[in-house]
Amino acid sequence: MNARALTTVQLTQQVTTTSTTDLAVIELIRSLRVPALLLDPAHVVRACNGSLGKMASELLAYTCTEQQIIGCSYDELLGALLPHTTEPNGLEQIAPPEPVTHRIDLTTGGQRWIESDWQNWHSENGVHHGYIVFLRDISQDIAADKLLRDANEELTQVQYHLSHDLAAPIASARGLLGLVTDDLAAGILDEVPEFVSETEQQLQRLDRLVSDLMSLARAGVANSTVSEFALKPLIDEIASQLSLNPRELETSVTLHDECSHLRSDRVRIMQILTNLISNSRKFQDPEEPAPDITIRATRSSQGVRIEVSDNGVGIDDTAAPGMFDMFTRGSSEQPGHGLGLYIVRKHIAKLGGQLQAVSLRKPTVFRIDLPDA
Amino acid sequence: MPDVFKSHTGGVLIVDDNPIDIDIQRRVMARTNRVGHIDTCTDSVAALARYKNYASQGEDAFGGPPPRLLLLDLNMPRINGLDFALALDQLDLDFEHHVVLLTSSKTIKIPSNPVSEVKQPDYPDCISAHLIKPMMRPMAERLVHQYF
Repeated sequence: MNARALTTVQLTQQVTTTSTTDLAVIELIRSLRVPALLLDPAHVVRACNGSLGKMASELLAYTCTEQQIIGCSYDELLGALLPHTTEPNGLEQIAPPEPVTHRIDLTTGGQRWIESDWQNWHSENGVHHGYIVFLRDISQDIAADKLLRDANEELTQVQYHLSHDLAAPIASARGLLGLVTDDLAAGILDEVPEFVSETEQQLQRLDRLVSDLMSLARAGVANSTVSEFALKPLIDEIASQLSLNPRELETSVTLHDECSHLRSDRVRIMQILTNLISNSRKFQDPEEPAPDITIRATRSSQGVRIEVSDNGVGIDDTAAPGMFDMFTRGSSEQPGHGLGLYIVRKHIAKLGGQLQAVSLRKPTVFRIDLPDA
Repeated sequence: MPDVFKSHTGGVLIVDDNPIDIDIQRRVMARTNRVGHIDTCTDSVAALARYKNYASQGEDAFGGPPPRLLLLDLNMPRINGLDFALALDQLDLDFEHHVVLLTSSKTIKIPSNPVSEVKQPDYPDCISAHLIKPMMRPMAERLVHQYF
């Protein structure tokens, strides 16, 4: 029995064992902090409490006071949203043994998950007087369950892709060493340097995966450290870091900075922009004379909007729907593990912001909306 | 058609998104000295299109006799190896061909649904064999012995 059900049982015992008169039961119902109703056998509300009135008002989208609810038919008032689940037992209807969970789509938008727990209300001599109904909003628990399920699913995906992405370069390296072994046995050395060089590339691939995984782990950290910082030096720092890699071409990073300072998590913003700029360089268009990356930061009514655009090859329509998913690669022609945009999205979600690809090509534009921290 | 096919000399088609793995398989198969053509392709969609084109164009789709042996990587973007093999099976190809699935792990798990695992008895009939990378000389010799 979970803690919530235990509480229900305790409350029911309290109502049924300590209250010998209708009045005492009514008083006890009114004093409870959880939404509760006392119904007669025909489901007419004999008593309820303020918490019930508050919950009913939210579910029905109009104000219901405790006094207005008393005397109403439960079936007419809440029956459509929270149908009763009493069952026939001879001449009586008895409450079900377990609480029932209801999903309610609010007319005002959103959903609520309400658990209703019907208990039989018997007098001391065993006469069935009606029902005591406890209601609980378990929306947060359901949301937590969903988060847990999503996390488990993500973990399964990570495990699968990790096992592949770790195993694949090792297998390739072993294959290359097999070729080297064959060549050495045959005394043919012409291609050995090429095989060794390719083996080195496989080790670099493993190295990149480890680096991506560290970024992913950082993105998943719950806490953010908020500070105020200037955007321009941060962009300069990223550009400087990326230029250190001789395999990457020179890139023109233009900053349209109407919002010179940000109040956010600098480490996350740096990782976000680094990944986007790296992608811009990786997917450069060979038809263009040079990669051209523009970063524009503007203040919006909600907070800050940052747009990163480039003149690269763009995103294929077929790849667009899953582009932010984990281990999804837009092209097999470029190295990578399909984690870059996923990490970007994860960082932005942790900051309470949103990420969109507002233009897939010519230019490719990623838009980040961040709330004021 | 994108320029992802690199024709060599007939009989085997290698489809793998990793150029290094393609190179290893190509070299090892060639060293058996018992296969003719070896075609390679890094794009599974383009490779499948060739088989589809075969239905309308015949041998022109492959630039010669269609491959007898298809070495197919499982984990590829766009179309994974298993879906590729199943799509191929639907084409009712009228020539002898054998599909060998290559993976980095001992089990076949569908990339889009890694919770489920395809056990060996449940491999689709269209898959002749499942081999674990890397392709080494003894493995290549066995394939050649079995299929050529």
